[in-house]
Amino acid sequence: MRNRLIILLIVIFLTAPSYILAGIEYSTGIYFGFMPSMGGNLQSYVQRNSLGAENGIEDINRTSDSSDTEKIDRLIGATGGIEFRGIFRDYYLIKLGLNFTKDIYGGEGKTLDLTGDTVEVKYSMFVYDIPVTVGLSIPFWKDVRISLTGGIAYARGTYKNSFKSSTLNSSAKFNNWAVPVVIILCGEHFIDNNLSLMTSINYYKGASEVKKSNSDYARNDFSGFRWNAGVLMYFR
Amino acid sequence: MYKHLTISIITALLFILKVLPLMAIGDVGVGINIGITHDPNNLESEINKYNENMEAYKTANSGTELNQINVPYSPVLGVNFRYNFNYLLFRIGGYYTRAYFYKAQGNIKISGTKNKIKIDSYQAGFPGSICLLVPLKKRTISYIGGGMNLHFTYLKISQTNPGAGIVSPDDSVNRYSGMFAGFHIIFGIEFPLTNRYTLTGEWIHQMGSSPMIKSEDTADERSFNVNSDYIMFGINYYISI
Repeated sequence: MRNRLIILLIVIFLTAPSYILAGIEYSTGIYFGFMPSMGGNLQSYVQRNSLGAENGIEDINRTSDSSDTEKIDRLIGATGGIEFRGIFRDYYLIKLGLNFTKDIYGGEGKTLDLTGDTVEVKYSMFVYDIPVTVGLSIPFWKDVRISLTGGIAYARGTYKNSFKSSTLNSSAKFNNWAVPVVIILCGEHFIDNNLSLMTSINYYKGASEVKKSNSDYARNDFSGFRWNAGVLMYFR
Repeated sequence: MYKHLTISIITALLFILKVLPLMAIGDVGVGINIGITHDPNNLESEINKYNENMEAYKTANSGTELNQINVPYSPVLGVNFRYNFNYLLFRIGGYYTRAYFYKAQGNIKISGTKNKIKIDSYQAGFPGSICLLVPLKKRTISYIGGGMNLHFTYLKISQTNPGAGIVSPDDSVNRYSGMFAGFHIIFGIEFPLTNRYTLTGEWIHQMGSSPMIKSEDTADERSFNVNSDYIMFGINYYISI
């Protein structure tokens, strides 16, 4: 089903009728930003069954006065990418992007398991994705444009986790892909006729299948918000 | 329950139609919209747990075959009635979403016996919104606002051959249905196609959870969570009053 969907999207994109292509206003952009919570709750089978954490990083933190623990924060990711846009008939927008996101903060610390034993925890994640979205782009006054697009993305990522204590030694690496739904709200301010500054909020919702790695089972969750800022160049 | 709801909706519509002629200006419109949402009843964590259980069972029991349960993508179909008055938009509507094309189902084959696991779920909602209109140019507007929803949700989890502890509770069928209130925020863009027809694009984020709802088949109970996002595109027809 997923493979057929991707092939269908590529065919639609490459075979758009020529009369539509001729009237398109093309632009390309580059942007950088951050993702406040990578990987969703980073849940896995070992966390549920060995550590009693039903919701991954959301309830893995435990502490007590007599134990040396260190809070495990959610993964914050740095993201960047490029995009190619086409606006036709003044308002209809189609976008193709390529993004990379890597965790730069959080995901490490110490917690307690159900017996009170200290567990060293590490999470990390890297994702690249190719979103294809369509929607509307509306000009405001002379130099502002706001667009709202929705679509899907091909996302592939690597999620690593490790849990080490006196009784538990688990590490796993999951390479998975999925086709999450994407919604993008973007605002532009034109500096001149061909160059604009842009900022966008991107929302992804979707996760891969569960895969096995060593003694653990988990999926790669690509859901979450990303904020980006960058520049767009129009070819007029 | 449905009778009271029907009477309430008809009463609200009649009130609106009665009040409208008293207003000097404004545009009344009716629209239909379609869209998509992912996992409308927030079953993803539960489905993930069942998939992990299936994979772990397969590792521990050689010869097991399985297909994991999908998390559903659902099309959404809705109608809405709109009233623009100065810089305000009043919007009431209804929508329905169910995973017809990419259903939440999987199976696990244990010792030659296949257990088909199906999770059938739908959601119907009746949102009422008040939005601030930001005119752009001519009749093009953007709007942002929020309001309350009335949700109807239904969930059926069925297994053809339970007993391996994959699904919890491990019954052959559990059905739940409930009605409860929630909230939403909405951001939209609307621009004209003709003098009377407009096109809209909307992003709706809704929130809400139900109290504990008992299963119709066993002693189990659960609560529904409808936190989800919808992207909708629609066409509207307006008359000026």
